[in-house]
Amino acid sequence: MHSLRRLVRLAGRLGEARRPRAEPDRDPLYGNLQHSWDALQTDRKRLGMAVDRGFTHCLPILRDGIRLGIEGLHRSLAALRESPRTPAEAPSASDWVAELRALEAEFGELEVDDRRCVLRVVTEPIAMRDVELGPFALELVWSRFGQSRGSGCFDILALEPNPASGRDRVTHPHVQDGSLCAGDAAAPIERALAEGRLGDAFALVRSVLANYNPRSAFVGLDEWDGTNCSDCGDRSDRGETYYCDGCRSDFCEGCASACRSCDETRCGGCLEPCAVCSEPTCSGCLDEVGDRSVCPECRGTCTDCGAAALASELDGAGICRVCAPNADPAPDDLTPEPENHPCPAIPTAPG
Amino acid sequence: MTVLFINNDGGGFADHIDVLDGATVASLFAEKCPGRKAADFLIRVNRLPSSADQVLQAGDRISITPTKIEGA
Repeated sequence: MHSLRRLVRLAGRLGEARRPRAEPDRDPLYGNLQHSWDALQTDRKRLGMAVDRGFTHCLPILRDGIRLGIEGLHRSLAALRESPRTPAEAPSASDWVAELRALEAEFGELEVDDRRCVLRVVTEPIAMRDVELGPFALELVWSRFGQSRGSGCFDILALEPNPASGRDRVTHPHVQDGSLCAGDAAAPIERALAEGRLGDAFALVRSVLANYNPRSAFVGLDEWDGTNCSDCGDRSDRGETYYCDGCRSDFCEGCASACRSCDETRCGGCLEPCAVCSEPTCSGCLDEVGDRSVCPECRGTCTDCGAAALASELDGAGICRVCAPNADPAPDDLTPEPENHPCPAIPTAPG
Repeated sequence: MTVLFINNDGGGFADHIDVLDGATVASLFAEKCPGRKAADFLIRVNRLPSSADQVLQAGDRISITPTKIEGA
């Protein structure tokens, strides 16, 4: 237990670091409402993609997610409606000391690192749905007051890490790279920190870690040690799955593929054949040349006019047919030659 | 009498509210969180654990913090 003198000194530092109460236009409740709305839209988009691609295996989960998303939106609106209009008073030194004492009582031990500006407590080991995640250290970095919002002031460190299969940065369904995605707790954590209620903030973080929201986890617990392929539904063991960044889903070895150009893993639904060579290519590597989607290997740039062109239509010097001296207009030119322009460029698609 | 009530469920608001003399932790919880189970919350009076039948005093600080709250 820390001495009163030590806590009083610490209270002074916390009081100095505490940022002013959020301005109305930065009210965390509005952020929470926006988050709920964005999550609902994401779920709707995922459901649409799953239906389009025939991923029937995940449809019940996605539909359930939308139902929960609507409930979350309702809660966010209710919280906004009930918010008080009078700001809280700044905590006094004795308030800070009481909060620090309460933290010690709640978690058993409070570690203070003055150099790093960190208050640290440790949770009990956490296990959910037969997945052992171990204890977590909750570190409040008070130098982040005023720079980060709410849960962004915390670092969440797995002390006996059991990360998700193939995702070493995910040590908890709602923790990635040591950052907590606080969800429904985001607004109350931010408000608690803004008002100096350290005990409430730490308790809320612990509550989030003790619960599981399958709708928006970084990695679902049912996939923690392996996952079902989003295409064929077959189960793959830990370390044997392939993650598609295009649709953010996991696939088995048989259903995963790779972009011919950048070699990034993609599922079959996120690859399109190049209009020239027919090789499977991701949307990030395909670019429009005229009305055709072409991979980087099949397209080039005219060294004369700078326009995008099919590589097969550039001569040895990299000059397109239109710019080539004495060139006859190609019969299958993709765009008509504009007047007063010596080099009729085939427009490059933006991005 | 007036007490400070901190509701960490939803927006996380702290408000001074009026309660009747003789009000208990359980009666305040029932009034503020209708339909909810007290077992799903950490309830603290003056930052200390409390019993359901604890009678509130003027100036008390009561906080309720959900133990079942979802991350994202």
